[in-house]
Order: sequence, then structure tokens, then C-alpha cells
Amino acid sequence: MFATLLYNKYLIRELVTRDVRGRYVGSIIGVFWSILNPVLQLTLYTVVFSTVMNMRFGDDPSWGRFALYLFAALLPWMALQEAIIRSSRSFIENAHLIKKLRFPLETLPFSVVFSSFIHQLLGTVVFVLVLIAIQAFNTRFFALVFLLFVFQIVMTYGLAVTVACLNVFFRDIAQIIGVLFMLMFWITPIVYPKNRATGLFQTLLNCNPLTHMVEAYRFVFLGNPTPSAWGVLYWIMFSFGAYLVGQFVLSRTRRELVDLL
Amino acid sequence: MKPAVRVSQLSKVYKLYWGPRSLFKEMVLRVPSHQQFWALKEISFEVSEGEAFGIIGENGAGKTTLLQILAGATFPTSGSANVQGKASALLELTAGFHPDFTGRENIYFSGALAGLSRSQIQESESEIIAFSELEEFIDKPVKTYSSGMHVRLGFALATGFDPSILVIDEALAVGDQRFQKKCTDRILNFKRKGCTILFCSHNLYQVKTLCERAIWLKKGRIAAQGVAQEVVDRYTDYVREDESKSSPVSSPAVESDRDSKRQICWIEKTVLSDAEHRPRSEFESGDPLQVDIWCYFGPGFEGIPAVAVALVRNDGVCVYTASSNTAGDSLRQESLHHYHARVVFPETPLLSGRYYLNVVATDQEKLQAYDIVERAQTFTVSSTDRGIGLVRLHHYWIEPK
Repeated sequence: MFATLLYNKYLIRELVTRDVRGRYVGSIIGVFWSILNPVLQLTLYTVVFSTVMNMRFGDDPSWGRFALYLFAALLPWMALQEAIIRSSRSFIENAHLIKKLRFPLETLPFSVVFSSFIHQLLGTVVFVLVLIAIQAFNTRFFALVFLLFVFQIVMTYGLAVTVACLNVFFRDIAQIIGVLFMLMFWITPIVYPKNRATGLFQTLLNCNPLTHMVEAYRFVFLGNPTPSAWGVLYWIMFSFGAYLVGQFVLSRTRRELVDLL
Repeated sequence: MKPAVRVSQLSKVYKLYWGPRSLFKEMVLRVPSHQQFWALKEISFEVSEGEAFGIIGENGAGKTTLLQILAGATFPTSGSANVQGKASALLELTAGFHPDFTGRENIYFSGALAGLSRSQIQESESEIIAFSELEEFIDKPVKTYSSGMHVRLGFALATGFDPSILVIDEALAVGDQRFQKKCTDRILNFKRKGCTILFCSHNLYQVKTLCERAIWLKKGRIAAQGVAQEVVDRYTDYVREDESKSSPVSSPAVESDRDSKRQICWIEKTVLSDAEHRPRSEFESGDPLQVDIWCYFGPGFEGIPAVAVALVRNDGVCVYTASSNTAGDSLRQESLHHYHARVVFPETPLLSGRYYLNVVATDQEKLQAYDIVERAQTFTVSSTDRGIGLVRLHHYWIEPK
């Protein structure tokens, strides 16, 4: 699978530029929308959760601190959500290409995953600049972020391929995914700290691999709270598992998929 | 020499589901709930390197499915299709275009789709632009192009990356006539260079002239395979017959019918033979043809008996009608009411195809047909002439002074 992606690297590059540029073609501020969007969302969540609902991370009472913790988790979350939801329709939207050519199917979800990642990267740059400006940047573990990127992409890609294939057979998948993400947003500690949860809900959070993903991101950017090593390992296992599932689903459905488009 | 394309026992079955629920039933509950549709059934052929190979057939005969399989877009259900080298698919010329991007950007994207690297595309880029004649517009978004410009870029792209196998599906009718000429020239050039061509078209004349061999697909099976001209001829025969079948044809009168209609004259027998009086149904173009007609002119008949023989191509186009009394009174009276007529066509320069004879019993006024026998005899004519039309007219070319 990786060999296919590597072999088609130029095609992927074209698909990604087409996707990124296609989204902003004809708009005046173009790619700045991809920075503006998360910033607006961040502001909204910060206002609602920290000032209205008085939610806090750690023992720091300032709303600014809340914004930082929120943003560290929101960036990977948004990239994941966007990639999965958009790639669920990627085979259907490109049916005209798939039916006409010997088309390396995996390049389509991959290019969607990659273009969402580019937006995450842009957001990350802005985030790091803000952290440096307010002297809250923690350099000790920052190098680890690249490792997190890799695991995140592997996971996102695996899930993206799975839903892209299944959605060709059952178009309900795309709808289910939308609902699922809405649900997952609340059972992942994004707008609240993980230690707020107790009892059964805590178990539920721990079972969710994405909990450990956002905790890991918070840790490498802000230096705390220290995530559980087993939890992070669980997430890494999950990401490779998702990759294998994606590979399995694609190899099982590849032959029939084209004829159903 | 290794064949460029080898297709053996290729079949393709499409599963037709009634809806997402029946698909769910089959995929998850493993209850078969689909209809099978055989798009292709046991197709075998080979195309050798440098050969131009035609694929003809009606809409829905499986041509597109076959090309899709050869292009590697979809998979055969059974059998195999092997393609040597890079097959550039002219399946749908403008399929990959993004309307918001410029012509140049779309060239790069299409190249990437064809599996090329950036440097390989750069090599062909200027040539593609020159061929499409879009120099002024190449950096404008494709959505601003006219439909003619669209297909010009498409054709330039599909032929621009030097494929070793060119797959052409209905692509020659591109742009204005001048550009069409440019396209056919380019395809001929590919042929001269030794490029293998798979040519799928409804333009049978082009298939006849361009291709050495061809197959005719009919409902997913090979109906004919061989020399392109013969296959095309057989196919056109079939199409013509099919067309004339759909228009109502009065069936020849039968005995009982005759009594009820109180018919007074009828055709008894028609024999078609060659110059040596041997009955035949296969002729070479230009062969002599002889028709013998026995008919009955009963007691109620008044006037001079006459017969007419119409030579009709199988699509119902009448080539010529010969009537007996214009050639003089040539019916021989064999008994009181029985007559025998013989007409000789010393030269029949018909083009290849299937023909039949309609025979009519009439009188010297030729206003009333007492009996008409349609398709009294059918025969085929084969010809090496590639001309188009009905008959070969004698002609010569001279240099004007």
C-alpha cells in the first residue's frame, strides 16, 4: 500500500494541490480561510466554555490558558474529522476518473488526508507562534510532535480508506460518520480536561483511543498534563490497527467497487 | 512476435441490485439478491504489435466494458486480458478536467493520472499545447473554453504522451473539419510509427480504412472476427436487415390465402442461377445473374402476362426493377395458363452485401400487381471494392487539361 502511494507520489501531489487550491479558487483571501476558520472556532469555544460555563484546565484560572489547551486538542481533531468526512465521498466524487483509468484507488483518500493535514500544519505554525509570543512554548518535548503526526496520519488514512470503500456500497456510511463524529467530540476530552471525568464516564474516555491522541498533543505543546504511557501506546496500536483494517477492506472490495460506482 | 493485446475467454458479469437494501442483504446477510447481466461472454482475440484493430457493435454490445477492462479500470469476472505496454485511454477525453484550473494545470493533472512524472509531462507539454492550438488560452481556466477547445485539448492530451497502445473510443469527430483532419492524420501517423491501435467507432468507413482486423460484438459475444472489411460488411448487413425487419413487410401469399382472395394469377417458382444455369446464392461483384420465374395466369386474367423482378438490398433499398414487357414479349407459354420467364443480368456490379429478389406478376400496363413474392430468393455478393454505395459505377479519372 505504501509502495503504491510512493509510486504515485506525483499524482498525489497533483491531487493535493488540486484539492487545496480548488477549495479557495475564486475567493479573495484564499488559503487564509484555512487559518481563519480554526481561529474563529477556537474563539467561539473559548467564549462559550471558559467564560459562560466557567470551564478550566488545571488550576490556572485564566481563560487564555483554556484557549491554549483547547487549541492543542482541537487542531488534530479537526484534521481527523475533516479528512474522514470528506474521504467518505472521495470515490463517489471521482467516479468519472476511477471508471476510465487504471486508477490507484488509495491515492484519493490519501490526498484528502494529506490536504487536511496541511491545514493542521498551518494551524500548528500559528499556534506555535502564539506560544512563543506569550512565552508559553515548551520546547522539551516538541520534537515528539512529528512522531504524533505520523501516527495520526497512519490512523486517519486507515479510517479514511475504510469509510471511502464502504460508502460506495452503502451511502448511509457518510451519514453515520457525521453522527459518529458529533458523538465522539463529546466523549473525547477536547473542551474539558480528562480528569474532570469520573466513574463510568472515565472508563469510556479511556477506551476512546482519540482521548490519548489529544492528551499526547497537549503534552508535547504545553508540557502537561502527563498522559498515561499505556494510553498513548493503546492509541498507537489503534492507529496501526486502523491502517491494517483499511488495507484489508480495500483489498476485499477493490474489484467490485468500480462496478458499483 | 508477442501480441500487444491478448484477451482470452474474457467474461464480465455485472450484478444488478434492486437497491441499497438488496445490496445490504447480499453483502451482510449473504442472501443472493441480484440479477446477473453478462456484459461480455467468452471473448477471445489477439492484437499483434503495430496492428490497428477495430471494435464495432451496437450500443450496449459491450464495447465500452471491453475497453474499460483493457484500460485496467475494471476487472474481468473470468478469463484474462493482457495488455503489453502503456495503454493510453481515449475513453472520455475530457473526463479529468477541473473547470476552475487552467489548461496547463489540467495537462499536468492528466499526465499524473496517466502515471507520468513531472519531468515526463514537461517533455510533452509544449507539443500538446501546439497541437491543441490553444497557445493563447492555455493559462486560462478550462471553464472559459468553448466545447471545441475542450475536446481539442482532450485529444492532444490523449495522444500527447506517446502511448504504445492507443485506445480510441468515438474520438475522431473532434472540433471543426480542419481539426478533424489533423486528428486523423495524427492517428495515421501513430499507425505508421508502429503503434498498436484499438479503434472503437460507429464510423464504419473509418474502421474499414484504418483497421486491418476487427471484431463485431453483439450482446457481449463476438459475432464476427477477422479482416476488418469483411467484419464491417457483415455488421452493416445485419444492421440493415434489422432496420428493414422493424418496418412491416407483407408476407408472401400462401395457397389458402389465394383461394380466399380469389386470386387469379400467382408466382409458382423462382430460381436464381449463374450464367451456366447452375442455381446459386453467392456471387462475386460483376458476375452475371439469371432469374427464372414460373407463373400461373388463370382463366380470369385478361391482357398480356408480364413479370417484374426487383433487385433489393437487405435494408429495403431497391437497386433496380426489370419488367418483362419493356424487353419485348419474352414469356414462354408452357401450357394454357402456365408461363416461364427468364431475365439475365449480364453484369451486376453490386457492392458487397446481402440482397434479395422481389418477384411480381403483372400485366402489360403494370398498374396492377396480381401477386408479389417478397424475398423470393436471397443472395450475397462479395466484393473487394472499398467503395461506398450500392453499385460500382464504371468510371475513370482523367487529368483536366
